[in-house]
Amino acid sequence: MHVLTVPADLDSLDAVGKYVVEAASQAGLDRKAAYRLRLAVDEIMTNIINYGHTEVGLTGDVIVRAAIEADTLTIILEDRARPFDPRERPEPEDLDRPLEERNIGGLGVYLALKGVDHFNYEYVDQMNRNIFVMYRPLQA
Amino acid sequence: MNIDHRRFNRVDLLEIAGRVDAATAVQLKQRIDALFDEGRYRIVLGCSKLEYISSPGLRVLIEARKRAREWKITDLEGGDIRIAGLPPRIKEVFDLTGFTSLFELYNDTIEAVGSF
Repeated sequence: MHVLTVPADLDSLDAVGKYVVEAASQAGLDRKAAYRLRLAVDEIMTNIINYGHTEVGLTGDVIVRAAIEADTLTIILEDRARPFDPRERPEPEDLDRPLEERNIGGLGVYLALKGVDHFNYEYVDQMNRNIFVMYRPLQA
Repeated sequence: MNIDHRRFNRVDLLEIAGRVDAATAVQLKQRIDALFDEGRYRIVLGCSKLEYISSPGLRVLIEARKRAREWKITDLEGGDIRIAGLPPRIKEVFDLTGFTSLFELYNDTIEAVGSF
């Protein structure tokens, strides 16, 4: 698929979502898997925008790539904000605890990491790379 | 995202269509807060046309639920946020986050409006 480059702005979430849904469709993911992937990418993208850019007054682009291999679909988000590994965020506290006592700050990252088959993060060439991998179903 | 509002005697119904993400969650919050400001705390969210919701939207739901439930007429009767017609893909996210046990979920809006 083509590479998508968008400004690190909340208005870009829609375009990224559509790109991911298109990639999931081309890769033959079922609707549930496509939804989970879209949600995961959206949550991490939101963090990149809010914490990597808006809160620190940085403007920049996010590059979105999709690679369809024989058995996997990989989506990669690349940005030049300061290094941030989402896996280092603690999981939300016990989800069974009463709401009023709960800190739900990590909910987005939790949804992102739980929703995909594999998640990876690397920092190379002064670039954050968030990597989402979904297995493709066996083709009939 | 688009929200249609219908007012009944006891209950307000907000039908949400489209996406509730970090860009649009604030609009949902404003619509719910506007009802609270009028003293309307019995709210049904119709979700059959909801395509997508991410964590900022879930946060709006959690906070609204808390505020609504603080309003009480008697020990048994008071405010709440109840959810109708949740699509299966979004129900899965509710299950994953523990939201399923926090909200009263109904198959359709008629059932949810009637539950108050």
